[in-house]
Amino acid sequence: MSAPVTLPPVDANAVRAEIGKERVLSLYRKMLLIRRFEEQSEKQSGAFRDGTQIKKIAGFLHLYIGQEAVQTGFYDHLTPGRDYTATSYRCHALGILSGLDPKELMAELFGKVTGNVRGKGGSMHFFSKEKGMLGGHGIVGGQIPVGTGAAFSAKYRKTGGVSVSFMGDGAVPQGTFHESLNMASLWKLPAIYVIENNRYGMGTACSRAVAVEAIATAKAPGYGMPSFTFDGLDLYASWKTAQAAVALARAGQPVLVEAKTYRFRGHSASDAALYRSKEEVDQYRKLDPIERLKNDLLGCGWLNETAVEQIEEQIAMQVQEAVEFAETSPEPPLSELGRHVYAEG
Amino acid sequence: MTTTLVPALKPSRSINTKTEPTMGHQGTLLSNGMQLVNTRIAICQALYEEMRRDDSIVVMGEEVAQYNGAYKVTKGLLDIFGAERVIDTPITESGFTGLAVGAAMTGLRPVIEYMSWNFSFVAFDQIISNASKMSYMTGGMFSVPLVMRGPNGAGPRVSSQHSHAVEALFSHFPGLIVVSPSTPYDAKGLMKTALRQQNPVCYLENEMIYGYEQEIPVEDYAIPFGVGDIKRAGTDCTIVAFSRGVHFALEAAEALAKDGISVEIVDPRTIKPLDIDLIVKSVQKTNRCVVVEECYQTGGVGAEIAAQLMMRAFDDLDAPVERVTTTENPMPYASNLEHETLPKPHRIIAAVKKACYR
Amino acid sequence: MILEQLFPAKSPTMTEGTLVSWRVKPGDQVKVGDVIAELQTDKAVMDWESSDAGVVAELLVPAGAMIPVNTVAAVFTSKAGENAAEGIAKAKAKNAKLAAGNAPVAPAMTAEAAPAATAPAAVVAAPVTTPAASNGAPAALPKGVRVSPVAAKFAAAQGVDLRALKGSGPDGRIIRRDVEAAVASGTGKIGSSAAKAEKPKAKLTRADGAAVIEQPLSPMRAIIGKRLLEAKTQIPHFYVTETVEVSALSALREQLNAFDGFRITLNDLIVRASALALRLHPKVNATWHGTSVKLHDSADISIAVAIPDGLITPIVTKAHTKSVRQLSDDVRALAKKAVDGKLQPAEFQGGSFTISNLGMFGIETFCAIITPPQVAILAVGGIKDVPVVRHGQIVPGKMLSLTLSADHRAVDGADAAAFLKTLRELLEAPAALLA
Repeated sequence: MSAPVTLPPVDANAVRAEIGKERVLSLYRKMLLIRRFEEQSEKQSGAFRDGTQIKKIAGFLHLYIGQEAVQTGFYDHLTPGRDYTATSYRCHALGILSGLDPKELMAELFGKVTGNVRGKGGSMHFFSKEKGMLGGHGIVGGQIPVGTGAAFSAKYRKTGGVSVSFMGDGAVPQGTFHESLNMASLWKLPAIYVIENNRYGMGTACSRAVAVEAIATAKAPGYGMPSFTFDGLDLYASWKTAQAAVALARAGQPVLVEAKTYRFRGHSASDAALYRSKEEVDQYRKLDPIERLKNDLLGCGWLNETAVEQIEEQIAMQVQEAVEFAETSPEPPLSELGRHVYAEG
Repeated sequence: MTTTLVPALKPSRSINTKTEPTMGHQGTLLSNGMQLVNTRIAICQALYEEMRRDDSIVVMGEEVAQYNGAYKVTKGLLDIFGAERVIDTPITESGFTGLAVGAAMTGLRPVIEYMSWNFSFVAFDQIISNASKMSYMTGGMFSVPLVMRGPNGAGPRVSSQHSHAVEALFSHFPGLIVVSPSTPYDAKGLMKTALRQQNPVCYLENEMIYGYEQEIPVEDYAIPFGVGDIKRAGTDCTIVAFSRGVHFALEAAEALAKDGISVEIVDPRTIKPLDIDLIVKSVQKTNRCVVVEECYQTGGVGAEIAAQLMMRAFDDLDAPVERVTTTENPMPYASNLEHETLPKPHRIIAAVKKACYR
Repeated sequence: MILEQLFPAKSPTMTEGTLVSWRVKPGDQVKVGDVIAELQTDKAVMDWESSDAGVVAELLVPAGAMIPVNTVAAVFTSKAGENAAEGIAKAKAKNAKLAAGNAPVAPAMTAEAAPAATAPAAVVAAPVTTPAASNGAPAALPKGVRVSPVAAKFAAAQGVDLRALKGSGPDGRIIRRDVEAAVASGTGKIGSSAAKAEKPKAKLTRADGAAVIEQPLSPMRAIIGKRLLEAKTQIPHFYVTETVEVSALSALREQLNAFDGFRITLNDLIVRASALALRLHPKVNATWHGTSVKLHDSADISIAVAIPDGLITPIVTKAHTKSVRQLSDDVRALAKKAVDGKLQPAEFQGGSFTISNLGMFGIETFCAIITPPQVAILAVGGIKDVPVVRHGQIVPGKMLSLTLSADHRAVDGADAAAFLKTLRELLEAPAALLA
């Protein structure tokens, strides 16, 4: 089981058929919602509240744009509430995929009491106890042992759940990555570790930070784990890889996965991305996972232009409603300041 | 209950029956219905009793299972509860602390042992960024019912990297509970509370008092956080001390009594929350205060107590609050230097005399 | 807002003083730093500068009254037109309460022995102690008095006047046990000493009908009395007298004063000579501290100056570094300030040696009392024309008598004699004084 697997390009027809029409269209909608939600948040982050100099969305805003296929493909194999997920500060997509209402997520970005965590976390800290989403973590690599702990818990309580810890390539050199993989393998935890290799840890190319190029392939054997590496810009590849990885984890075999992906935006909204060329970005933009999926679905006839427009319209409206909800929601009352420092009850 | 302190204690007659946990440490049942335990056994009993009551509790850490704990606090638990619940970890403090945070967020109640709190520094990010902030940054959605425990403060002659006392350090962060018991009775009662509440707890033991014995009840009891205890009543000077400092203070108090100085020792038992009311009440009586701690002076627990006394009991002070802390140097190995570094009785005596203008 | 103006302690030892004159009247606008009154301490007349900005609502103390430190002497409001009635009433009540609290405490006596006694009316009459602030916190003590918070609170509760206590803590801090001891011994019980200060000026009549005027001691007089008694009884004085022929010195003085602007006195020249002699005899230029003697490099010479109802000793600092002309100017300026009561504490506290000159009264010789911690004082008499033998001829000469009082704990006879010998040589061949 420990032989590294690098998946060849998947057979789109076969995978599409396996997923099924309704389901794949739903995945397309989800990816599009993530995209439009983030585009809107990017726009709102440049605006001020009416009549003030207070930014509508402030602080860090790490966008997932370009990477949507990875978590969308994986989440489709998970059951919210039974399975667990944890990720880095680039957590908007996971919030949406967990089934959280874009309204509460947008309100969180706006720092409103109706937000996902009552306006106390912001962009980097989306959570859901109900859905088993364990954040939203601001320290690189900090979420990996937490995700591992959820796998430990699932195994201890014999729930059948698995835990997926997502991370960027920048987290790989952190001690927590290695410590977690080691424990997961020692104790056969139902844990999946997904490295979303978008080629840059902030502004540092992965090749300058991680000593091996094929990360999962090289690292997994050191922990006695199987690994998968796939094209993270392809939903079908993601979905197929996730299918295999989740199956292994459910059987008690932790897995290391590497998605070769790309982020179309800078590290955060304030990043001018001068460390990479426009040509490189353009080249990857041609591989936009949402465009690829749309074209595939148009090609096979499961989508037509009218339907595409309809979906776009519906999602635009959903995002607009989220923004309106966030705009009109109240800020947290000052009584919230000292609440929740310690658990209530 | 009022506690009686050992080691000088003469136990009531033993009726030669051991109390639980039967496969690990055992207390000695006494004819007065109490049991004689040392601190180590008291903590182990608390773990044992709560693990029997609540199967979401798991114990993990380096050497806690097969080795029975580096300091034998978890002795016998593996045999009783099995490897599923009593787990030896690799030497990976950051990893197992984060793992415990994740487990605590998802329905378990982990107890993790740092073989020494010095090693918790390796896990600092997980304790601070994750454990302490999780409740707040999730708007109360998640809690982290996690007990982090292990010996804290200076061991015997273990020099710089193994002698930190971390009460002040972890008290600095909102979201953490900091417990620092000085006696078997307190240790057991506070551990019970730690295992029945929802917040991350830094439970700071001290190697030098593991062996101290005391009569404690056989029956279940718990000591709430934030409630201090008068370890010795007196009239001339209040000493606030916790953990091993209480024993230093008791020794100092005996010597001071011979000089006609009557010392009251207040043990807050938990540094966060801190029973400042009890301290203020005592200082209102004695008008003088010396704080004893193994932390460093700068930003230490004494600094906090002195500042709070300035705010709460200024008009009751007859002298500035004195602090007896670990001197501001890494712990030296040499015996004489180590002796002077620690807040030993001779330094407490000098500080009390100074506060009493003697 | 009501701003109470508490009569301030202007020196470490000041517990009461006289409000000499008001410089403001009700309705005046006052800025921080404005002089609102002149007050007399036990040492000097000083300005009372306001530390509040506001409008004077009422002056509660008449000019000329002697009042304890901390008396509410005036009430300001922070804004014009503000109703101050309540604040004034409160301040008056506070002063009255202090006065009552300071009345002789002899409850058993009042019924039988003092049927006609009326409580002292003037709020300004009695020493005031701590319980001033309405929240029960201890009021400010005279500057420089250290007291632990609980000692202050306890003293207030027990009615102990902290000013009567000597602190046993570091730097003289009054601590709880000092107050406890005072309570036990009755020391400093408020009112116990107040009665004396209370006594009004009274004309008494002797049995033979002659009038006697009894004057209460001024603060300065009381302090002078206390200090001199201590000095005279505690210091083992001894006295060495020398006569000096000062013809040359007088001639020098005349030559100097021929220059425009020079008003050199004989005393100035003696100060100059003493400064130079002190540098050669450090044992005389010293201070006594019980377990040590400090020998001073600098000759800081205190000059005794008579002022109404007392004397004061302004200091010519670093006298050995100053020319005759400089010394002369300094002494004159200091003396004027002394007489005007304008000396600052730093100008009369300290000093390593004292010169007292009564020559202007024509007396021949006298013995002065040492000012501790100094160890010597030079008493300068008047010049007498006497016949002297010079080169076998009897010629007219001018003799001056100098008497050095010295503290035998620090100075021996030979030291004193050697110092006087140097002094005589300098005065008899005074060219060196111009060096």
